Amino acid sequence: MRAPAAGGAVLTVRDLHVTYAGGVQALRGIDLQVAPGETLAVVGESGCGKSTLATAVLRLLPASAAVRGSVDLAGIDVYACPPGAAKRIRGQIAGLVVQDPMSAFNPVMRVGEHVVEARRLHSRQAAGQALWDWTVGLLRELRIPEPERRARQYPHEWSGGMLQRAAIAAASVNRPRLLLADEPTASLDASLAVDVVLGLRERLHTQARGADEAPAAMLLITHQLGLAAQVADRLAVMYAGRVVEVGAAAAVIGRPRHPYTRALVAAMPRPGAGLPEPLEGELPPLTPAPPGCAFSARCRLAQAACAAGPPPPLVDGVACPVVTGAAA
Amino acid sequence: MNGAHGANDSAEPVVRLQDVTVRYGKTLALDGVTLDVRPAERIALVGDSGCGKTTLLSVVSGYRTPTAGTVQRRPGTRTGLLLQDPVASLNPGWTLEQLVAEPLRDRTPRPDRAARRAAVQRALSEVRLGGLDLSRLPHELSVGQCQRVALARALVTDPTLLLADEPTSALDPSVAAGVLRLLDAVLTATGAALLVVSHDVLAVAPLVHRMLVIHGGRVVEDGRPDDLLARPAHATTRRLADTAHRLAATAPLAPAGPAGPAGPGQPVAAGWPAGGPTVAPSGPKRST
Repeated sequence: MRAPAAGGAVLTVRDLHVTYAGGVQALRGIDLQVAPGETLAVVGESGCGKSTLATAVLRLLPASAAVRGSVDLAGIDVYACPPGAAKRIRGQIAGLVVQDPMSAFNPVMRVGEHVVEARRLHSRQAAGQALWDWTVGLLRELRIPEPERRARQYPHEWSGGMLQRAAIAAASVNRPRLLLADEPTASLDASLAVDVVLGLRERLHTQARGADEAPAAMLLITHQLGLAAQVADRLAVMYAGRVVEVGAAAAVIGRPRHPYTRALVAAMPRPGAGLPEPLEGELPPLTPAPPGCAFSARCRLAQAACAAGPPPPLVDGVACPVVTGAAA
Repeated sequence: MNGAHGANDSAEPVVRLQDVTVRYGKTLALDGVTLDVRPAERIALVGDSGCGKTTLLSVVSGYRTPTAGTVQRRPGTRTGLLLQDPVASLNPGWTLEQLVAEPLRDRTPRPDRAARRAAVQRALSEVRLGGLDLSRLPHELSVGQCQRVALARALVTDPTLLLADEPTSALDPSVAAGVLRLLDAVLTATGAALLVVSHDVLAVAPLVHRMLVIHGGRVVEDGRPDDLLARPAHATTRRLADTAHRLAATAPLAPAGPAGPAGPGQPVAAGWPAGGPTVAPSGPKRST
């Protein structure tokens, strides 16, 4: 079952298609790789398929969803391995931080107990004072004030920002190779959001198990381009279930090439630039997805050929024949 | 005379708050806030979660009575309210017409059916949803359309003061940009004043003349958004400004320009040139 990871990548997604029971083609041929220590941010509007991607990587999709293609996580083929092995992947090889910290915690369990539980599920360490002390130490590392007292409190006694740091602690407690963070800052103040994600990244980089071990990688799902630009090494821009542009974060934001990426960058508020440019129109229905480039109906550069044939493939990191000069 | 914040200083304020204090049990949510909102003035209330900015908005709306202090509304002031989550703020079983007409129920004399429908159609055309079938339900609309319906609800009473609580923070940036532009156009056309609460300084800065930074229930800084963000004095403002700069630092200033500075925490080298709302404000004013 365990095979060498493709090119040393922690995560390799190949030609991944996901169709939900209602016929929605949420993912339509995703190819992605995440290297050890790398942070890849997946950005795009609501409904573009980015959360489906996170769910699919962890094999957490509803049983009725049809999946085609492959996901390789640290050498394990996620969809070819038995369900028990897939369960072990979650928490041990890949950790998950979700959007709303308040709903991620059991309201009648103390915050510290969540971290203890996450540790015990994947290690043989028995519950006891040693494990509790270790948890308190971990919360101290995450700059939670008065961790001894705070660990005994219930989730409603913590602020959203503190709770999200505890969620990060629980997700990274078994030192996963990959951390999936799905809109981890959506419920936080802007100033806290940057600190939380930078803290998360720093934690992944400093907790490597030894000098010979590569730091953990992060797949950050967000609709906030500014946040992605702050913390990611690379960006993948998704539209209607496909990656339309991928590259170094600074290059994608600084010199966006795909018309959709350009529109997203123009919609970012910038100091002194006045009101940002809205992107008119909406995502097309994906039941089924339209032929050709799904963005063509909203695209200022669209030509007649754009709305026909198979969706354009990524060429040199951008899926637009008009921009790359491949259009006839 | 145009005053410090782009509004007419000599005009009677739409709302005047004097030494307003609000307590929730032992918690002091607002601690002696004094504020005049002039006609056509656009003010942002910014600060961290729990600082008291939403409480301040609820006092101005009349929803909450202050523990101490006074709130005076100019006679004839009509308020409109726009909330954060467009989907949650619309009753899912009501039609578009019922949703937009609801605020008219409190008008005296109550307008008849034809007048209500005319007001609904005017409000919907103001938010560029004029062609929409009035029998539609919220789930048949996109999130962006829902927020425009919520704005139409706020506009149907022809308000002189629009109150908005985090109007874009539940939206994708591409949709949020459209809502901000629409708000700007509507306020310019109607001349209504605006009080908007937000933790996203970058999003509201180009919309308003004046920004009030709230911390611990008090107004700790008050001035033009570009001045506050370029030269923040209070620690809270410094932190908000730093985040704004960090989140914008990698964005290019020209669409096809070179990549901006990418390092975390790196300040924007150039200053904070005035972009600003349609009515250009002049001269900063700081509270002490």
